[in-house]
Amino acid sequence: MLKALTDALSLPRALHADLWVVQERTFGPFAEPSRIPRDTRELIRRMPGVAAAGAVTYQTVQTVSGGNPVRLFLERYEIGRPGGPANLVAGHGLTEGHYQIVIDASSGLKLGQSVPLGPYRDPYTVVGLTRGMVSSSGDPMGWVTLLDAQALQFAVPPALQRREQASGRKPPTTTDINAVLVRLEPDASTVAVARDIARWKHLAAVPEAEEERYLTSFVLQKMQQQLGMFMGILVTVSAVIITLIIYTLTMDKLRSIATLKFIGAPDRVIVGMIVQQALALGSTAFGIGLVLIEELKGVFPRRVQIEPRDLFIILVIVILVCLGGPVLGVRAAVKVNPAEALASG
Amino acid sequence: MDKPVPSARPPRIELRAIAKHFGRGETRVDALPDVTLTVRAGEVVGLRGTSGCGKSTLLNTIGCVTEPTSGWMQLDGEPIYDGRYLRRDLRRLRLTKIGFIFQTHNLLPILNATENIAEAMELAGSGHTDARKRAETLLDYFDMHQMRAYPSQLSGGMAQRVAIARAIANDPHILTST
Repeated sequence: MLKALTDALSLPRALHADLWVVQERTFGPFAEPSRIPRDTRELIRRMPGVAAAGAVTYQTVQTVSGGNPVRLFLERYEIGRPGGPANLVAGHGLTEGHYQIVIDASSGLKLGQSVPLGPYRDPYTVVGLTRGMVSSSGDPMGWVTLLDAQALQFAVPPALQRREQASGRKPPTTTDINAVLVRLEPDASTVAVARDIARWKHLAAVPEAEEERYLTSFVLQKMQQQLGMFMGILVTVSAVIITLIIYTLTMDKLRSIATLKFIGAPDRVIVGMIVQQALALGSTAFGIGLVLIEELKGVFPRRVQIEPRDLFIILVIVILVCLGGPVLGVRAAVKVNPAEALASG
Repeated sequence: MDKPVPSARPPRIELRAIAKHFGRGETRVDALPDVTLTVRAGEVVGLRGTSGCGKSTLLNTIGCVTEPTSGWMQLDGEPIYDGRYLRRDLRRLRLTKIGFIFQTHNLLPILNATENIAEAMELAGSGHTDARKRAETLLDYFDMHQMRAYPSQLSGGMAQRVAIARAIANDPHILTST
């Protein structure tokens, strides 16, 4: 199957966490909601074999840049702990407790730009830019501190706040986090630490590879299937187009084909010429497609990465289509009467 | 030295009561009445007749493109049709023993002058280099110097000279022309 959306795996891969600690009986923040108390990070940090632990939460927010809406997949992390921005290409990570944001360059936002976020539209300054960090939905990643996260997640507009107070309800607030990212000591066993966390802390500890698998299986699989379906449709349409083009080209050349047959060319030579033409057409289209993919992939927020194996499969499909497509043209060429070469005009 | 008597030359084309008709019953069309004809080596024979009298059908029959309905036919000493069976490797025969000059030159538009001639020789089994060399020799013989020109770039006369060069490229024993 086409291995697509490699960018979507950029986040779990870039975080370099040996273990993802999430709510018991859940599959982690990429698959389903996971809520664990914030002090879990400290409990995990003190366990044998754990070198570092960082609390993270995830949330999708929307802001405006240049009058255009920009959706961001925000990760909140603790400065100096696992979970910070990866693939920084400009600026630096977060240094202040509030109102700083590191953001992916695909958002179109610039270093130093002010980004209004939250119900109060607090201005967050872009202090760092990353590259190739997008969510599984293709939204650019952003990083803010956990403290800011609370404000973004639970702050409500003043009018709503007054109504809540009037009704006697307390404004929602929580210090829960979604996951704890764990980096282990060099000699620690991932399996053993994961088992201890599950046994003593009643949490699920998922190795990074497993978390990637969850993301791939639960979230990306449908996208891959969709892409596969689109690819199937495109291949079918391409096959029909190639068939029609080769048929039309063959019909245009019937007199030349009749002449060739008249002077003694065997059918296999004529069939070979037609198939050669189809293969030339297919390989040219394949080449142009590759160049277009390479040149235009940056324009799209959600990139489809085609790996060498995928390219080989596509090439085989192109060859098969080029071999099967000219059937109608070949049929017309084989049936042409050599005597048609004598027809005037 | 006396010239050989024509009748002593070997017959290249021998037709006996060759006929061709299309359709059956009321729709039957007699395209070629019984034709008996012998053409010997070195002879040049012209066919003249009204439109639809069967000139092209006769030429197609001699060119082994159209199968006769009845009669007997032999080309260059090789039996072609005995009234019931038609020889099978006619394509090879056309390629090596018969040259065709078409009314309209029928050059392949995607090949240049040299390639048009060389292609016919390569189909007959000549090597690529030899075929191109001989093609250039023939074009030179016909005073055609636009060897790399494509048919669309040639005048009618030039294109026809290339077509004649193609027709004789494989040293055919029989040359037909419309």
